[in-house]
Amino acid sequence: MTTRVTNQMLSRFALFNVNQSRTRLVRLQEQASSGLRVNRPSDDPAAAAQALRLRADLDATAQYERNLNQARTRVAAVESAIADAQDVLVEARSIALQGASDTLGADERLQLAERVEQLHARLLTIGNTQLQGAHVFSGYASSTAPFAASGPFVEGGGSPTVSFAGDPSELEIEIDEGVRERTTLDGQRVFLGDGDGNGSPDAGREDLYDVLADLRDALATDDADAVRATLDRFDAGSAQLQIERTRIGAADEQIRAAEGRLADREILLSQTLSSVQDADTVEVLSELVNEESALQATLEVTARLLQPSLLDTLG
Amino acid sequence: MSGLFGALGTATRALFVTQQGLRTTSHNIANVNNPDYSRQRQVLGTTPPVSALGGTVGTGVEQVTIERLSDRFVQAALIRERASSAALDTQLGALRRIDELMNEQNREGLGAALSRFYDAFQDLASASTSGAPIERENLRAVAESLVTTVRQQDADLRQVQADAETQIKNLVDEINSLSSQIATLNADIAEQNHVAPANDLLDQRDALVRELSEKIDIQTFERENGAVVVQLPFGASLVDEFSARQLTVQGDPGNPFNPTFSRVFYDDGSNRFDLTAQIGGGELGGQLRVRDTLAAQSIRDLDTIAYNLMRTVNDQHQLGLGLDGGAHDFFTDLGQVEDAARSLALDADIVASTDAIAAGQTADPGDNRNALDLAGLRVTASAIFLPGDPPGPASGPTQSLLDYTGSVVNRIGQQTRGLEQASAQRGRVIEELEARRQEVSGVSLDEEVVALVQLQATFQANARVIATVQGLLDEVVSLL
Repeated sequence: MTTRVTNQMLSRFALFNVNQSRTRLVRLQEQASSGLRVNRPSDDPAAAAQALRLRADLDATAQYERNLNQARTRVAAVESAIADAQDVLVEARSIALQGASDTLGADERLQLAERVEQLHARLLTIGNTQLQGAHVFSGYASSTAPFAASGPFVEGGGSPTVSFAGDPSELEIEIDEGVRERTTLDGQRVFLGDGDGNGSPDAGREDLYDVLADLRDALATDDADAVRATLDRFDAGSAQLQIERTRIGAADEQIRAAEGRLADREILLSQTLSSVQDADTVEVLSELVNEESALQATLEVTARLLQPSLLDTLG
Repeated sequence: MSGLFGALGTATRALFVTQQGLRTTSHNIANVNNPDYSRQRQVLGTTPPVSALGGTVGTGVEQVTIERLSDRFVQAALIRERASSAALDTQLGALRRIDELMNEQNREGLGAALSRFYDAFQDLASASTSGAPIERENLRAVAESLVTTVRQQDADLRQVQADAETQIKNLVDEINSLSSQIATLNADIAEQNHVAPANDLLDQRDALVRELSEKIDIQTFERENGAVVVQLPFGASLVDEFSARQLTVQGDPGNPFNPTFSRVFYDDGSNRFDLTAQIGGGELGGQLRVRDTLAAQSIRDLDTIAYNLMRTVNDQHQLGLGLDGGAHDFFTDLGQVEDAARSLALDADIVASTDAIAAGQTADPGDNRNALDLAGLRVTASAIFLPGDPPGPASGPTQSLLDYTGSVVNRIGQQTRGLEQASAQRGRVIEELEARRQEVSGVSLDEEVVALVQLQATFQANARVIATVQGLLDEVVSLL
């Protein structure tokens, strides 16, 4: 304890106290106006580092959500293309069933053949489906149309073959950290039944264009047996499309699951970020009121302390 | 008669001494608000007695001296504490700037720019258009803005360093000027001390010494003649009685940041000593630490981030092919970590055409495999190359670049917080010491008023003695 109290000591102490009180007040005012408890790394280094990480994670989550949108659009395009192709096969099979009937004449079969030619053209369009200018069945070679017919249909027999000009690959998109999901299918495998890329359909699979061409030729040449022979191949082709549709459907499932997961994570991350860096408004405001009255008290006490001196009494 | 005249002399002397006392008191009161002032006190003694009629008769009072009340130990402690406090405050000022530069709480910073850069690769990978021309443009724009952010932060950090350098030069001038002033005052004090204590000059000088101690860490001791010797921490004297030595600065061609950055030398007339590494206290020590350690380290941290960004992205980017069929760097290749931040730039091929961006492993427009891998760098942990590592292996921690950036921000925050606490603590210690100094040396108006009352009474009493003696003398004279 000091034994002598001098005038400068009093004013120094007063200034020191007022200064400290004002410093605390400024901190609280900053927190109240920014709504943040941590306004700079030094306020709470651990929290600031955690907030940095959380913001990056939130940012990544938003990015994955954008990726999901892209993936969904592309998967939907692929899925509907395959559904369309299935419709084509169903229609072609019913034509084959009709054409296989012994009661049909050559003229009627010729008419059916023309319908098959149209179906062939439709399937070709489906195989060349584009999404924003990119061919979805072309793999990485997205600017190249994957399927082209070798020529027109010839009267009385002779159908074009369809070759694959795309890239036999499936485009992937990252839909969650480290999770890459296929968003397109290998067109060669879907439409030509050639999964191994050796130029001919794999065992149990069909070149759908070839089946249609064979049906058309059989009808055009009025060969009921040959028409009947295509029926099993249509069944195999339909099964093949169903398998591919299931594969892309699985991607769709993954996307839906990721969507829910990302939405949950976004909420969790936002809440954590808020608890790490946000100021508790009620707490800050009540502290602010406390500090203000503390400053008021300090100022009043200081004013009183600085005033009296023996001079006042002696006059 | 001689008794009466003796009493008259005693009273007259007392009046004179009382007047001196009044002057001292009024000097004290006049300086009540002078922070450098040390209170003065009249020291009284009795004049030599005379012997008369077998006894000794006192002859009154005399002023022995005017004492200056100051505590040498408090002064020494203040000098020490001020040096370390000034060093801390200087560093804190600079660290707060760096802390604010790296601050991402309120605004977009390096972390956000990095994050957006990786996102742009994701957008490229999930683009639905063939060749993704828009996403390529966007990626290049985002990468350019990342480069700008890194370079701007580098420039800001280097500004902190340059400001410290300016201050170092200014401080050396100030120190030299203070040393000369102290040496001059030493001479004045020694001269006046022959006659009487040079109280007010001592106050002036002690204030200058305290001011000097805020600039550089010093030790002082006083010689018998009152002159002070000011020594630097390793014993060389800055002020030796009446002469002052000069500090000089000279550019350091070997400085890794800037060859014009100065080293501080001590010149004792015949030899020069390099003090740069030895000065730790005072503003000068603080600014040297800011320039050579704090800002320097932050610049290298940023260099480390820039180099590793360049290296990881380039390594992955080289694995793929652009639409033009070629393999390219993404950023201009850099050979070393040092100064990577200020040299960071997009590769000329990327600047020339976005077709050079290697989104795929092939040149196919839909191939997004390399873009996926590039986007994956966001979370890929790899050994961080530290300054001095290349072309050798990386010796840093295995971390993703985002995490490393976070740890840099965290470290600066920790440092700032640590300094804030240390500085606040020093501030309280100084406040305590100032209170001690004031307790001994400060003027209390109450005390002085009491002294005034006392002096007034003394003056009146002695005047009464003179009046009484005058009455007695009148008696005696009337008998004649």
